[in-house]
Amino acid sequence: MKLEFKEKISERIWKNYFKRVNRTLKSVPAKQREEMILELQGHLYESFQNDNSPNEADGILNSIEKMGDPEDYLRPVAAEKLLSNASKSFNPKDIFFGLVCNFCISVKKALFACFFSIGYLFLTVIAIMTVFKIFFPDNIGVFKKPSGSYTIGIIYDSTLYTDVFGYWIIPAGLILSVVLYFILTKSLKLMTGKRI
Amino acid sequence: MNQKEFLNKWESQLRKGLLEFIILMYLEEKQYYGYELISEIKQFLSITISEGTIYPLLNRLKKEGLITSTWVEKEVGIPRKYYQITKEGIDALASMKDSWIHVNFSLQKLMVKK
Repeated sequence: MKLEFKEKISERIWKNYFKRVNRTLKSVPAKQREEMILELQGHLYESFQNDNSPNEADGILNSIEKMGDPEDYLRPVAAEKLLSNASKSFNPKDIFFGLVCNFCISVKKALFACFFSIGYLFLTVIAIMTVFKIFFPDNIGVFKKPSGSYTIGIIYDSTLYTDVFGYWIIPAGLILSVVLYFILTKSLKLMTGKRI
Repeated sequence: MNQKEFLNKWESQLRKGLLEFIILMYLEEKQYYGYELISEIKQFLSITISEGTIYPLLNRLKKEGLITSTWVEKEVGIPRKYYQITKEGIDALASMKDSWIHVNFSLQKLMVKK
């Protein structure tokens, strides 16, 4: 459906949003996809008409913000439609795309959990190493091997190694742990704080 | 998270969990199209919710046979997809209302006991 906008930027914002919608729904059968898009266009257009922003582009952006990210609210619809169609059609292509779509939703959540788990584990290791440096100064730190390569961690026999940072690793490690902790926690808060 | 934030979040999640029930209650009254329905619900519940999320819910209710939809052409602008409750939807809603009354009654008993 062709809509008329007063400003070119408004048209671009609108088109970009519906490119994202189209991309999210690309595996849904064409007729169903067109229907969904038409419904969403109607919704967004009415929301924009009821917006009080003096500027057309701001009105569209406000409506888009209220609508939400299509990648979030439409992916379950796309995944469900694919599997539903696949189970009716017995089409292997539909089954494959339906399963992949549902898998992606789960994988996204799993990767998210993995990323933060590894991040927190890493900062815990740094913090522990920093503390243990006090008790085992010759065995913990960043060491340069005779070959020229570097190693970080716990070394049983460090006689042939050069401790690169010495005791400076303690304040550096503590600062790094604290900074990493705040960055990870802030990122986690931002990512989990999305509206449904 | 402080207590006020916790309570706000809990109440918000509670209201969101009841959305399908609330949608059916609205549709029992009359037919609605998506934008109209979510606007009324947001006003009634006073919650922050992405408007797009109503569509997966409507899709699910339609898949279960509890609602149907019809496209209505407008003289000007984009056509609207109106949703209506089905007979199965009315029956399901009646059962949901009974369940809600039962849960509410049990909670009242628990609150009085404590």
